[in-house]
Amino acid sequence: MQGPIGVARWLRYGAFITVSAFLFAGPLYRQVLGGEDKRVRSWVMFHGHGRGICEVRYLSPGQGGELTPLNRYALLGYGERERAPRSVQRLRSLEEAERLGRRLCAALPAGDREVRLEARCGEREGWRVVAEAERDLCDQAPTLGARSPL
Amino acid sequence: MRIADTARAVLSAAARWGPDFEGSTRPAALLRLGLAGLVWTRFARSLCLFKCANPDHVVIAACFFVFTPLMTVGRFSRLATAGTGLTLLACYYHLGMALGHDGFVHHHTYLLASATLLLALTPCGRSLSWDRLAALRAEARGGPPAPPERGPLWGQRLIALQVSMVYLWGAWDKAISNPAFLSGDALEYSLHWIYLGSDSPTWRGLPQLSAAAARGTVLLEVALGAGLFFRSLRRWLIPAGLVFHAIIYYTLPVSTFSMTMALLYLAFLDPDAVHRALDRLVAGPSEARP
Repeated sequence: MQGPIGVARWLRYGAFITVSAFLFAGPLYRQVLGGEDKRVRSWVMFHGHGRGICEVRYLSPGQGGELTPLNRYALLGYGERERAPRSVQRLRSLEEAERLGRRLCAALPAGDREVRLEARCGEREGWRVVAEAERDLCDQAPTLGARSPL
Repeated sequence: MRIADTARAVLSAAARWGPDFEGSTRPAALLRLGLAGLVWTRFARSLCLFKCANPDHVVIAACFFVFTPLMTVGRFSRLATAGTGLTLLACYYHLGMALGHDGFVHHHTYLLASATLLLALTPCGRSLSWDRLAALRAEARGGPPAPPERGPLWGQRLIALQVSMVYLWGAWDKAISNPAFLSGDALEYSLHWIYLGSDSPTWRGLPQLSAAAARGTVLLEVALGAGLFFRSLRRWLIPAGLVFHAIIYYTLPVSTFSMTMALLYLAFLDPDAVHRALDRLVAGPSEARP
C-alpha cells in the first residue's frame, strides 16, 4: 500500500514544483531575459497603451497680438470634440498635428491666417516636446479649403 | 545536524503549505461558479455560431458550450472544469495566436484559462454542485457515503501563486521596464487616449495626480503580490485590492480582469474559515447563535 501512495505523492510534488516554476519562469523569460516567444505569457498590462499620443495646442495671434488657443473642433465645423472623427481628436505624430494645423489655416479668415503649434508626444521615455509655436504653419498651408463637416 | 534539521523543517512546512495542503472544498466550488460566470461573460458571445469564422472555431465553440454549463452546475465537475480550461487555451493559442482572432489574445483571457485549468486540479465538485447532490442522494438510498467536503487543495495554492505572479511581474514591468510609468507619463498617455484625445487637460494637477497614482499602483501591486499570503495582512490588503480593481474597472477598458482578480482572492483565504462562514450565512438566526 505504501508504494502507490508514495508515487502519487511524489507525482503531486513534481507537478506542484513544475507548475510553480512555469508560473514564475514564463514572465522571467519574457520580461527579464528578453525572450520574444509570445506563446509564453508575460504580465505586462497597458505597457504601451496610448504611447504615441500627442498633446497639442493650436495658437493664433489675438487682437492684441498675443497668442491665444484656437478651438480646432469649432473651426473645422465639428462643434465639440465628441463629434469630431478620431483622426481630429487623437493626433499621433508631429506630422499629423502639422497637417491638421494647415487645415486650420484654410479655415481661418484670409487676413488672420496664422497658426502656431505647441505639442508634446508620448514616447517610451516620457513626454517629449516636439513643437513650441516657433513656426507659422500657414506659411506652408495648402490652397485646399477646410474639410466640410457635412 | 542543526542545518539539516532546519532544512527538513522548512521543507516540511513548504510541503504542508503547498502540495500537501488540504481543506474544505467550498472555496474551490465558489471559484468554479465564479469562473464559469466570468468565462461566459467574456467568451460566450464570441463563440456563438454566427461569430464562427471557420470549422476550428465551430469545434472549439461546441466544446465551450458543452463544458461550461457542466462546470456551472457542477456535473462531472473536474472533467468539465478541465475541459473548459483547455477550450479557453485553444481559444487563446489556436483561434487567437494561430488564426489571428486578436480578441482572444489578452492578459485577462489567459488569466481565465490559467485559473480554470489550475482549478481543475482541485476537487471543485465536492461542494455546491450537482455532483454533491447526486452523492448525497445515493447515500440516502443506501449507497456509498458521500465524499466529505474536504480534499487536496494544492491547485488552489497554485491559483494563489498565479495571482501573486500577476501582481509582482506587473509591478516589475511598471517600475523597471517602463521608464515612463513612475513619472506618471504613461498613465497620462492612457488618459489622453481614452478621455482627452490630444487636448490639454483643463485641470493642471493631472501630472502630479498621475505620478502619485503610478507610484501608488506599483507599491500596492508589490504589497498584494507578497502580502496576500499572510493572514494578518489580508484584512487590509483585500479591501485595498478590491478598491484598486474597482477603480481600474471603472476607468480603463480591462474587461473581466478586475472581477477575475477579485474572485481569485478566494484562493488566499483559509478554506475552513470560508466553510464556516458559509455555514453561518445559510444557518437561521437561532442556529447561527451559540
